[in-house]
This record gives sequence, structure tokens and C-alpha cells, in this order.
Amino acid sequence: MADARARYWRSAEPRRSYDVVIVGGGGHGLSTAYYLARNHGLTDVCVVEKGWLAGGNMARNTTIIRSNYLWDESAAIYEHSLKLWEGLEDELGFDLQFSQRGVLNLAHHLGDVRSSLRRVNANRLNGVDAEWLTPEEVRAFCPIVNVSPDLRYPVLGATLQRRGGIARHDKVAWGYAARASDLGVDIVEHAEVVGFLRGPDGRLEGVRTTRGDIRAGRVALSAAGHTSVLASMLGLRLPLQSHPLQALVSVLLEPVLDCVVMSNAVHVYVSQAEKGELVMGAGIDAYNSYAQRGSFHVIERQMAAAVELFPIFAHAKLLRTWGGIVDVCPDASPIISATPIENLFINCGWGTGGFKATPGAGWVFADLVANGRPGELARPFSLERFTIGALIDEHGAAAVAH
Amino acid sequence: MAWIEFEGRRVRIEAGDTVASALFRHGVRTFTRSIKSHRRRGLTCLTGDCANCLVRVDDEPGMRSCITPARDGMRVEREGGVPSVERDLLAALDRLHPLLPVGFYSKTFIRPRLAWTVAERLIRGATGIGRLPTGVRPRISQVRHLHVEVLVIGAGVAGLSAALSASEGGRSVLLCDEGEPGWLVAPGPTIERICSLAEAVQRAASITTLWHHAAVGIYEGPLVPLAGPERLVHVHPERVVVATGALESLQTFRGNDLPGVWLGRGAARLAGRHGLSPGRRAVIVAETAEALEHLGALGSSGSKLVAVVASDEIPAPTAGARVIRGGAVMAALGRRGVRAVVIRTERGSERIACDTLVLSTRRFPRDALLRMAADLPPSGEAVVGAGEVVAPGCSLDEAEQSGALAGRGEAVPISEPPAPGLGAEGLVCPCEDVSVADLERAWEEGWRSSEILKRYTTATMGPCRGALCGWALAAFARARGADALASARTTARPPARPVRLEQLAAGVHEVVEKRTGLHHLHVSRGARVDWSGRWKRPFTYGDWRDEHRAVRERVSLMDVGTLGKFLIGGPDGRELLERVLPCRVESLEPGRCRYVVVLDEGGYVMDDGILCALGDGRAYLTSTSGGAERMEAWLRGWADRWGLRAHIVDRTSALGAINVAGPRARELLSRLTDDPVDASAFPYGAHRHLTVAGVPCRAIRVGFVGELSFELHHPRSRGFELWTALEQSGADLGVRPHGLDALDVLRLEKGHPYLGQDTLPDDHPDKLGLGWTVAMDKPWFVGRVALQRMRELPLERRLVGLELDGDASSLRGMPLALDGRVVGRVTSCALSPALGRSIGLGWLRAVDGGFPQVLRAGSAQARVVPTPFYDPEGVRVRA
Repeated sequence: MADARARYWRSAEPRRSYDVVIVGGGGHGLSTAYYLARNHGLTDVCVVEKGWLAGGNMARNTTIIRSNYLWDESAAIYEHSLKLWEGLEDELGFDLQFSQRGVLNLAHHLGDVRSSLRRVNANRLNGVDAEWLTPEEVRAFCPIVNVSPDLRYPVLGATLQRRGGIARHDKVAWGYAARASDLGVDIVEHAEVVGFLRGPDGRLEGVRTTRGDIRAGRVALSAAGHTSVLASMLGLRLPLQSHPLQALVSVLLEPVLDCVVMSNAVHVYVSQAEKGELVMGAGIDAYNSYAQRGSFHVIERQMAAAVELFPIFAHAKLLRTWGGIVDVCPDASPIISATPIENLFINCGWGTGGFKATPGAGWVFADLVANGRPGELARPFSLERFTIGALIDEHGAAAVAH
Repeated sequence: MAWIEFEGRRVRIEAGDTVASALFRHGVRTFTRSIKSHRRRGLTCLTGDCANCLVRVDDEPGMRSCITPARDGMRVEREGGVPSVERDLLAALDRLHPLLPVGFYSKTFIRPRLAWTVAERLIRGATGIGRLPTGVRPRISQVRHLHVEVLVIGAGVAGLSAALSASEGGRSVLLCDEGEPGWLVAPGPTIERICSLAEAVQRAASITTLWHHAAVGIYEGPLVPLAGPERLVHVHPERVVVATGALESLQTFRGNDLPGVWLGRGAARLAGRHGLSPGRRAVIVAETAEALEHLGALGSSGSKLVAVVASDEIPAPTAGARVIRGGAVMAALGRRGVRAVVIRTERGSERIACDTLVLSTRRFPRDALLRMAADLPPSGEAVVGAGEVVAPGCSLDEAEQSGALAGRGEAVPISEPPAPGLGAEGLVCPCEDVSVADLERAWEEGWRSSEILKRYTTATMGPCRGALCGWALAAFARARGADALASARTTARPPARPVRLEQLAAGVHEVVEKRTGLHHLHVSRGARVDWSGRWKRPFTYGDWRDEHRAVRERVSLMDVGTLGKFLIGGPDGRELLERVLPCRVESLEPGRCRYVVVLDEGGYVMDDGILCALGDGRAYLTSTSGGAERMEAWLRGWADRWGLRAHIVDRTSALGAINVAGPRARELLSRLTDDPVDASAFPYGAHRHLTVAGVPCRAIRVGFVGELSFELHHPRSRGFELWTALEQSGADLGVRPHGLDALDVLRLEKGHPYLGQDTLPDDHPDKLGLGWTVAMDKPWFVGRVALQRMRELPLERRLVGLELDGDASSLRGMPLALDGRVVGRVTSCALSPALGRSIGLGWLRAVDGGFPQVLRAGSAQARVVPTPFYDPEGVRVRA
């Protein structure tokens, strides 16, 4: 039953040239590498990571997985991702502590209720499981939620996606890294991209890193909050705003919460990890930043909401807070797109919700990079939508207000 | 006689006792069990740094017993262990440790899934040390803000000295400490120095002290939140001196976590302050000069010193103990606690029987706060360290001098000790049971930087936040040749000390509710008042149909004081509006008003309102109730960006507004004003100053509800008399108020979309049928470029008016289907009392380049019809 491996992945020395260089060794970059190799037979691939493997947002998220997005285009890609999650442990051969314990999205006012009901309908039409729970049903499903009508933001109901849940984030990245590495992908840590190689005619020919130049037939950016920095080196401006987003954990506690509870209105989302710590996410800081830390008042507001919704949390002790940098698009939907620069592809703009999309985004982005043109799932998420105005507005479904 | 209740027994407490010292005197040696291997843990540091003494106090889990003063009647229990901490059956896991190597759970793929589910239950049942109390009421906590010139964190020698020197010249200084000056220090020269400095601090007029307040973190600003027993204090200093001292290093050797292994200062404190002997036979490792003090304290407490393992620079202790030079501890042996230690010397290894091993070892800085501040802008200048936190092992004089320099803002000498080597065995991270062997194995597997080792092994991720092991993890990586980046200390994150979630929540008080000046009047009229955004507003006063009829047939009042209200002036005020608004502003004559939409840069509708041109070149602008704050920020942001000299005065809360609407509105108004209100003097689309019932009003002729109406904007304080005068004067006209329920139908009959309810954040005016509000012949306005681009493309969806079969009032949110395919959605609908049929608004997607006309909404047929539904020519509103 045990497949104890001596080593997860090969930490490689970069070679001089590859078919594809993926910039960013986080969840999306690694899953892209894996699916390039697995689905498209492209193994002459290098993933360059400026820090340690999966040390950016992949190490900083709250591990929530769900697919209950509003619009058809989003439902298609997030549901594709969720279906991949459901088979991912077998696919990768690792235990990922993937646990479909159900995700509640609380509604706190009339507008919330209306948009939640609408989302439930939309989800069902798209084949995404969704239920509407009354406050009493919310309490039955998650007894520690305070459903008293006296709260400032009373719980008027909730949507429930039973197939939603959590997974252990680090393991997902390591699993993809291991299998991509098995298939021949080179993973290079501590190699920061500091520039791009352009040919005499301006063609993109590779990347310049702190560990040397690497030539590439195609370059795939998968650098989350720092994508805009990389793109600006090529003179490309992207419709992205980078903001700090904080999360925190409590000390280990006996199990009190066996589902995921999210509240858009009061900005708290929480689950309890296997070991026993409460994992909670906060709202974003309003200012732009690339520093991986946020403001104290954001934590204070988040805790106020958490303690009101879950009075039992009052005496839990805070273990650690941290911050990551999220790249947010005007419509709270991602960009998976070719660019005006030939051979440059981007996967970014996942904002506050990239973790759940890890398998799906990698799958779809690999398809785009391999074929040079978007497939059905990626097409609506092209850069072009900002030109023609066909946005995919997911502010309601993205749990964190942007 | 005072007692605490400990697991059903009464335990006597003495003056100065902490929970830990009282339990220790009672004979408790195992305070907790480790998380993974369920190993016994006992008192170690006594400075609140490690996690070995966490207990449950009065139902609060995870209390550090060593710094929790014991109080009469306290209930104390140990946590964890099955069935108890003392007899933990899961301690068998410890013997499995070699079989459960680091990363076991990561690499092991347990199939079938069911087996893992069972395993998961077992693991979860066994973990989790704290049990949260149910039914707790959050304690009432408060927040204070303190602005000082210098904040000093830590009231040891360096901190006290820093506070004194910082206060020279009358600078305001705040000195805080997790405890009180000297409370963690054993009797000796240190405490004498602390006492004399503390007396001087007490005399200094400009020093404020806050004891029992621990710094949570250092944030940009700098902002330093302090967690106190009943409150949170936000300190906003100009400078911060961090004087948090240092902590002895837990050497790595087999059994280094057994109860009976002490850090030197902890053992000395137990002996010197609580008069308790840590054990009967003690071996002490003496690496620092301070070790001699520890020796003295132990000796006087009655411990027999069996051996002193002393490094060369330590002078021979006077007590009769045997001194072993050049030795090192190889192992501490025992099951329930230390029974013997193995010392390696040049002559080989030797087993010495003892029950206490005291590590007076080299100290490492307690520098989490300093490291949090390291990359804060401006780079570290506002935050400096003093004393042992920057020079571990420094003398008392050096600490005092270091503090004095830091307090004055002068440079402080820094000396970073070289890291010692790790032993071959033992735990690096006691919180998470991570051993040296675990780290080595992980290293061999390719986890080759301190950060990724941390994530893989979970070392430093326990409740001590790396206080005990942070240095060791980095030292481990460095010793194996990792470069500076890969062997750096892992990032320090708030909180530096434990803090309850409710303490963090203390400062946040939601605006309870926003109310207009007429709130109580509504309530007295029987209104059902509920949330509408951040406002509490009347939804109905009984029967919305009655209210609707009053508007359509007689006259009715509505409190619209929640609308955003702005006065825009200054030399560039009109210019600002011309650039921000998509309509023509210049051509709007004084006395006229106009419906405006506000677009963002993407050409999407952000908000709408009424713009009134005033005679003096200024303008008066209203916005939606929910959009007021954003509107102000929006206007100010653009004025600022363009450097326009525009003044924006937010009058939202200063002014009230009452809409007098209905065919007899003019008749009512004319009874209360001498100003002309006839259609020729005051036509639709105009605004005038009226004095109504003696109240000066700006009256605006608008038509949201589709009837003759006058919106009376007035000083908020006069709202009550205005409303009651209108009510009394209109009694014979059948005047009555209407609320949001009636308004929802009234505006729907006119086909007016509610922003937010009927619209989406990416609606441009054309999609809403509001293209007429945009003057594309203006050369520029915010959103014009995007709008131009989008206008060249066919509309992919639009908001349409719908006529539905039967009573469709429950169809809001219903998908609109064409041949079974969903192509839209109903956003608003109602059975219109005025029309006697069901009407609605909804989204429709283009299908094959056109918009279908007949759809299904559930079982009802929905036909696309032009709006407005009611009075399409607008005769009534212009009356």
C-alpha cells in the first residue's frame, strides 16, 4: 500500500535551451508542465522558479476547492478543474488530503440571497452541484455557525456545494513536480527571470535568469502576482492589479469544523485542516503591492467577522499570519491567452482563487501553449475580452471582494 | 490559603506562584504531550517561549502556564493525551517514529480510499491539543490608540535603559513588556540592575509603561499592536526600540525534550524565585558566564550539582561540583523524565545518573519582531534592536549601553554569534517532533533550503513559532553548504506572541446602522424598517399596494435622505464634471437638472444620479444611496490626478430629502409655500429654491416614480417639521408615506433599472438602454475610449422590458429560455397594480445576431416589450 519514494523531483541545472520555458514554479506552472508532458508529449520543458518550489501563492492560500461560479465560461473551466481534482490522487499517485467536505457560501442580506439563489440556478444549469440552505439547514450542516438574527450580518441562508472541499496545497505542488520530473521536465529553483532574450528582429527567444540565459521556443508566464512585472519587461501592459491578500492559522485545536464556510460580505473563509488548525483567509488590501505582507486592520476586520459568525473561535489563539500577492483582473476572471508577442503565453489574473483551478488551469494552459491557439475552455479568457468588453464578471462568485 | 483546582484536585498556591510553579510544587512533571509522537513534555524555558507547558486555564486552551500568574479558584487542566496526559496510550506512536519518517504522510499513498478515511479519523482524533470551549461569550475588549515618539518593547536592562535615554529632553516614550520588569529573571546581579533602572523609569515623567502587554507584530507605519489582558493597544510610534532579549539554545542530543531538561534561565528562575528545586541531582552545561549564577541558584534550592560540563572560558565554579571540561551531552536517558545523561569527553563517554539537566547554553536572539520590521519601508530605520536581541550574550553593562544608544537613536553595536553545530540526534523542533535525522533525511531527498525544509518537515511551524528552533533549521542548512538565500532564517510573521482571536477583533465596530433624520418618525408610523445597504430604511408602512395607490392617484411622501449629495465648486469644478461625466455639463443652464450616469474607465456604468446646475457656477450632484462614498472618492481621485482646483463637499449626511410625489403633489406643496410651483415657473427638469413650511429647500423636479414629483432637499435638522407639515397639510388629500417595496414596483412600471439589482458591473449604457445619456460628441470623458470601442461591436446582451403571463411576482431570478436554451434571466418583476398585468426587466443574450422576442420564464411566457410600461410618453411626470 505504501509507495515511499526516495525523492520527489529532480532539482535540475538549467540547460541552455528548451522547447518551452515556464516561468513560475507554483501550482499552475507545475501542473502546466505536467500536462504539457502528459497530454501533449512535450517533455523538453523547463520550469524556472525564483524562490523555492511552490513558495509563492501555492504555499499561502487557504486550500479551498469549489466550482460554483456564475457564468457558463467560468463554470466550464472550474468544473473541469474540480473533475480533475476528483481523480488527481490516482493520477499523481500521491495522497493530497483531498477532502470533499462541502463548501458553504453564506448570504447575509437580501442582495446576497438573490444573487446566491441565482448562482444556485446557474450552477445547476451548468451541471455544477449546488444547493440552497435555509438558516436552520445551515446550522444543521455546520452547528458552530451563529445563525442568530441579531447579528449585524445575520445568516439568511447559504449555498452549498457538497463536492467542494480542501486539499493539502504543498502536496499538490510536490505531486505535480514529481510526476512532471518523472516525465522529463526540468525544475530549476532559485532562478529568477530578470529579462528576456529577443532576437535581432525582436522575436522572443528565451529568458535571462539569475542562473544564466535559457533559450526557449515558447515562453509561458505563470507567475501570479508578479506576472505584470515580467510582462512589463517586454513592454506589455496587462489589465492586472496586484494586491496583498492575507491568511492565517490558529494553533492546533480539536476538530470543531468539518466543512468549509465562506462569507463574501464579511470577508472570512475558514476550514479546519487535518492537523487541527483553523485556516482562515481575509480580504485584500486595497493598495497595490508586491510585498508579501498586509495590513493589520484587514486582520482585525476578518477576526471580528469570524468571532461573530463563530463565537467558539473567540478563545482560539492565533498561530501565524502571512500574505501573498494576488493579481486581479477587472472582472475577477483569469487570463489564459496568447499575447501580442509571438511565442509568449500568459496564465494569470486568478486573483484570490487560483488554488482551486490548479489542475484545470494547467490542463488548459498546456493545451494553449502546445497548440498555439486556445481550446474551447480557454477561449473566453483571452486578453481580447478587455478590448471587446466581453467580460466574465465573477465578483459575486469570487469569495473575496476586489 | 489559596488554591487552584487541578484536574479535580486542590493544589495550594503561594505568593508569586505561576500556574507552572504551583503545579510543579504539587509534583506535576509532565505538563503536555507532543503533537505527533505523544512524548512527555515538562517545564523548559519558563519565559513563555516554548510550548511545553501549555495547559487549559478556566476553559481557555493553550495558556502558557509559566507566565500565567496563579489565582485562587482557577481551574487548570492538561490537554491532549488518550485518555490523559499522564497515561497516554498513543505514546506508543513514539516507538513507531522510525517507521513513520518525515514526510510519511506526504509520500504514502494509502489505498483503498476507505482505509485512508479510517486512518484520517485516527490521526485527527489523536491530534488537536486545544479543545475550544463552547458557549463562551467573547469578553468585552476595547482598543486604544497611542501616539508616542518612541516605543520600547521589552523591560529588561536594555529596554529600561533605552526608555530612559529616549525620554531625555521630554520625548514621549512608551515602554511595554509581556510581563513586568524583572519578573522572569532569577535573583542576582541582573535583577538588581533591572530594579534600579526600573525605579528611574518610574520617576521619568515622559515615560508611560504598559505591563502585561505583548507586541503582536510590527507593521508598516510603524504600527505596533500590543495585546493586553482586556484590550488591544495600537501604538503609532515614530521610532521603535526592540529589546526582547535572547533565549538559550536547546542543544540537540537524544532525549533533549525529556521532562527534566531545562534551559538555564528557566531552572534558575524556578529555584531562585519560586524556591523550588528543579530536581535532586543536576548536571549543568555551562557555556556562558551567566551559568555561574544559575549554579548558585540551583545550589541554594537544594539541588545537588553532580557535574558541570563547562566550556573553557567559564571559570571553575566554587561549589564542590565536579567540572568536566571539553565535554558535550550525547544523550539524556529516561522514559518519564531524565534518569541519566551521557557525556562525551576526550576520554570517551560517561553515564551520569541525574534527574535534571540544565542547559546554560549560548543564547540566540528573540528577534521575531526585529525581523518582521527588517523590510518595512523606510528600510529599518524606524525600528532598531538593543541589548541581547542584537548582541546575544552581551554583559549587563553592554546591554545598558546598547539600550542607551538605541534610545537616543544612535547606532548600536551588533554581534551575531556563529551558529553551533547540531548534534547527530535529538529533536530540532520539539513542537512538531522533528529530529535531526528527519532533517537529514529530508535533505537527502532534495529539500534543500530552510524554507522548503520547513514546509516538508513542519519544523518551526509549531506553537513556539520557531522561537526554539528557528536558528537550528537555518544552521542545519548552512552546515550542509546551502547558500545565504537557501539557509536564511524563515520569514518571521505576526504574531510574535500568542494572541486570542477575539483580541484581534476588539477594535472593529461595524457602523451599527445609518439612519436618516426621520428614522423615528417612520417607526412611529408603523414602518417595517430593514437593512438597505448600510442604511436602515422603511420598506413598507403596512400595505405597499396602498402606498403605491397613493403615489399614482393622490400624493405620497418618501424619505430619500439616503441619496448621496455633493456640492461641487471651485474654479475647475465644472471642468471636473465635464471630464468625469459622459453628459454635457457646460450646456446645462442654471436652474436645470439632468439625469446622469457615471462611467468607469472601462465604459461601464458605476452609478447614476441627478446633476443640478447652480447659478454661481457650482453644481449639485446626487448619487445612489449605496454609491455615495464611492462617488466622493471617485470625484476626488480624478480632481487629484488632474490637479484640478475643484472643491467637493459631501452633503450626504448634512441634508435630508423628501420626495413629494403624485398627481396632487403640486396642490400640497402650494399650500405650504409662497414660491411659484406651477408648471411654467417650475417645469419638469428644473430645480428651484423653495421655502416649504418655513424650511429652506432645494426642490428638484425628477420622475423616478413616474408621477409629478418634487424632491425637497433640506437641512437635516429641519426634516421632522417639514415632513409633519406635509402630512398635516395634505391630510385631506390622502397623503401617506411610501417605502422601498412600493418604490420597487413604481420604478419598474417606468422601466427604470436599479443599479446593482438589474445591472452587472460590466454594463455599458447601451446594454441598459441608456445610450441617450452619453454625449459621444464630447471629445473626452472617463470611459469614452472604451465605450467607443464597444460601440463598434454588436451588442451581445441587453436589458429588456418583459411582459409576463399571470402573476409573475415570484419569478425574479428565473432563467429566460428559448427553445429550452437559457439565454437570459429575469432581474425584476411584479404584478403591476397600475397596469393589472405582470411586468419585468431581464437580461437577454443575442441569439444568432438578434434578440429573441418571446421566451419562457418557468411556466410563464415572457414577451419582450418596450419600456416604460406606464405612461410611456411621460405626460404625468411632466405635469
